[in-house]
Amino acid sequence: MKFVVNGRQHTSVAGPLTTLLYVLREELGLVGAKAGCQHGSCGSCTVLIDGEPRRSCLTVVATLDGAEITTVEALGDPSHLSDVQVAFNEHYAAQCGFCTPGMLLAATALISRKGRPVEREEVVEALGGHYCRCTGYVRILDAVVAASRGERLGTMAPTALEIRGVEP
Amino acid sequence: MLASRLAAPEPEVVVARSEAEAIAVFGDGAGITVIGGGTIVTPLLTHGAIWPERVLMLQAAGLDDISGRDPLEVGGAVTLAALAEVAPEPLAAAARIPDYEIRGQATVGGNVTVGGDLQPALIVLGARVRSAGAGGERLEPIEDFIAAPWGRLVLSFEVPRPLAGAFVQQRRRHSHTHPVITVAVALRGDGVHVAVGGLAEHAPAVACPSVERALSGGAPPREAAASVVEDVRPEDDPLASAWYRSRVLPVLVARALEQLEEAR
Repeated sequence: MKFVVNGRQHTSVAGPLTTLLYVLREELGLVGAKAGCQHGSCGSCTVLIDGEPRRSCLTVVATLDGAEITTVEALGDPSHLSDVQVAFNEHYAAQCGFCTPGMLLAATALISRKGRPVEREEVVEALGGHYCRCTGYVRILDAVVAASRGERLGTMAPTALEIRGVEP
Repeated sequence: MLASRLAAPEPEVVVARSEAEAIAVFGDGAGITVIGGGTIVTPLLTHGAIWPERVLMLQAAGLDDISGRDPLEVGGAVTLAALAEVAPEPLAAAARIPDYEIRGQATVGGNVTVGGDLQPALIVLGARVRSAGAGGERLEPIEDFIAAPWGRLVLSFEVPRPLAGAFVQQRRRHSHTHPVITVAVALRGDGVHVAVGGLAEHAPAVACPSVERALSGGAPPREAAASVVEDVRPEDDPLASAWYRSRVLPVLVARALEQLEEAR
């Protein structure tokens, strides 16, 4: 089965009923998508398939012929974070980080789909399938709304790499 | 379970390229597992709860078309997100299950087969189901289909357009459980139709003839709704007790009927 992951052609050797989550984590070493509940409820495995957020744990390889998959690894890197990633940082919208890749991708897709600043209720609806056990969601909603408005607080906290003095 | 899965050969996977191929591969349904959107079956495969001999995949079978207006023709592999865009109420509201991602992947055929939220909405609209399986293709009322859906491959739905509709649901917000209680009502040319779902885990939705009779006899919504307890036999399950369901049902039916009044 051939599909594109983060702009690169990939030919999977996994069986047709293997989940995309397994292919990403075990075959490609892309561990941004998290194996949480693994039955579609928690949202932590969410990736973009042809631009739409989808649960990689519910998607089997046999459905991916020619698909374009985007994982959190392609959103940005420590020196060039995406707007949504910057907003999550500025608003302290991540704590343990387990739900964050799914949240970031679903929020990025929402903002791109709407093409305008989003209302808080729209974020609640779009991220309703993503569980966060740390933040209480308020800061996540703040961050997504701010990112959609192009607002920057200019209060970027240092990244873990910067704290450790590692050059990205 | 794990030992048997390790010993079992890999399932044979067929990606059907047309409706005819899907019907031929499905045959009488024996020994075959169908994947439409995969939201129900994939976790069962992942966790080893099922390990079928053969799997039929529907994503390329051409069963995802929506056409017509009255009746609306809806393919069995249409996603709930696509259905919610075009369906009349109460079907559109029923299709807006949690969450965004699941609606974009889950299919109408799968939802109806496992006792999902669409059943009561399809009942009150007088929908018919076209399916294949043992004995060949058949077109039947939704109520007949959901009484015995196993061994049938859902091909499409015929959904007549009502004059008005309303949908009320009690569920755990943003959870992937079945709804606690679902009430669908529709005004059609021959009067008001009422159906409820979520009476127990995996129990099919049922029409409510006592409520419909009371309404056609001129009873106001709240009074007519009280007779819903004559039409249903709620059960205890992990979501709610039979007692709770019996208490809440008349309230939700009344609420749906009041919304229908406003919508007409």
